[in-house]
Amino acid sequence: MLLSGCAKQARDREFAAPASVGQDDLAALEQQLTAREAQLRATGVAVAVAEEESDPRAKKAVGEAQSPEPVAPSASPPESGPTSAGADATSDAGIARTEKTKAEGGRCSQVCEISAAICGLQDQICGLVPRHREDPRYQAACDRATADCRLSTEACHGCSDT
Amino acid sequence: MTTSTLSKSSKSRRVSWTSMIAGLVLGAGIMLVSLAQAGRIAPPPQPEVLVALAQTLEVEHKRVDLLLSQKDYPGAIAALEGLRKIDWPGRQTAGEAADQLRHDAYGRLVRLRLDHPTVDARTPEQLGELVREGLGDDYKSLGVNAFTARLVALRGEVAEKKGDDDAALTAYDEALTMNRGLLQRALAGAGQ
Repeated sequence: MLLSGCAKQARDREFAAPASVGQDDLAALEQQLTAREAQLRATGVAVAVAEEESDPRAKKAVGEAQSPEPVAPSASPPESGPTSAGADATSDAGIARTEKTKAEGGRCSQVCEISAAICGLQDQICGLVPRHREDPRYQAACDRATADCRLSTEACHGCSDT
Repeated sequence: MTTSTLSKSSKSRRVSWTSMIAGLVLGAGIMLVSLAQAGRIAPPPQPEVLVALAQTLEVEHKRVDLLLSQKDYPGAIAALEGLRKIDWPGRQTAGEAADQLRHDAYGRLVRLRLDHPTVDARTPEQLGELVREGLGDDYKSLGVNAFTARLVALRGEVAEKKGDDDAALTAYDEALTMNRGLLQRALAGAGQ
């Protein structure tokens, strides 16, 4: 019991921040991470649009799952990550603009991302059916997944944050 | 539909998916701490542990992003493998968000290994063990979240690699149920 207690303390110390994490520290950290979140969303959506443009099969998924709201293409190449995309957002005005834009499109982006995940699962489930034509569970699961994909795609297309 | 074509579109979605939801969870972790400070929700017992974990992971994920941008897949996989060695704080210490962050990191590793099977090759059984390690014993008691849903879906892909289609179907169905819940929650946000 003593050893496990010591181990737990050692584990917690590994990730222990300085002893006193004050309100100001957390508030500042929150601001940084909120800005970071906005940058990641901006990059993430831009990356998805840029990468999917080059994949003919993904274009179909994009067409099915894309938000009705236009996504401004990023000037950064898809694989550059958040660093260059974040360059414009490092000023306070830039961060404010990015956060406002992303807040408006955030929920619908989320809906469309989930829709894409659901339709990806539909592909995977229905891909099992040809190997199990005699087992009704597979077709039933495929039918459910197809219905979910259709509904989620409609939700994505019809999404509005206003 | 072949796994390779599925993985290509899955990979593009995963990039945006990971970026967005990693940011959301990091932001959510800090929001959780702030709300806890305000006394509005039950705080993780040691919020500073969660914050430190999130910061550590953010740095590592950025490093992996950089390695991937350089097409250094062995380096990216090695970096994520390094995260397996850390002593992940448990839910009783850092709350549910810590489990979600673990699922995110493991999900990213499994995705990379599936997409690059010749890099530091692992058998399907070893990948299955990797998924089990990442999910943990009580992932089903977590609140529905995108990270867990993705790792469960990856469990399905690994099961297919092992030739176990029944297990794959179960995993995909479970992931689909999770995503259905996520969608309902996202749509419900419209009415608030």
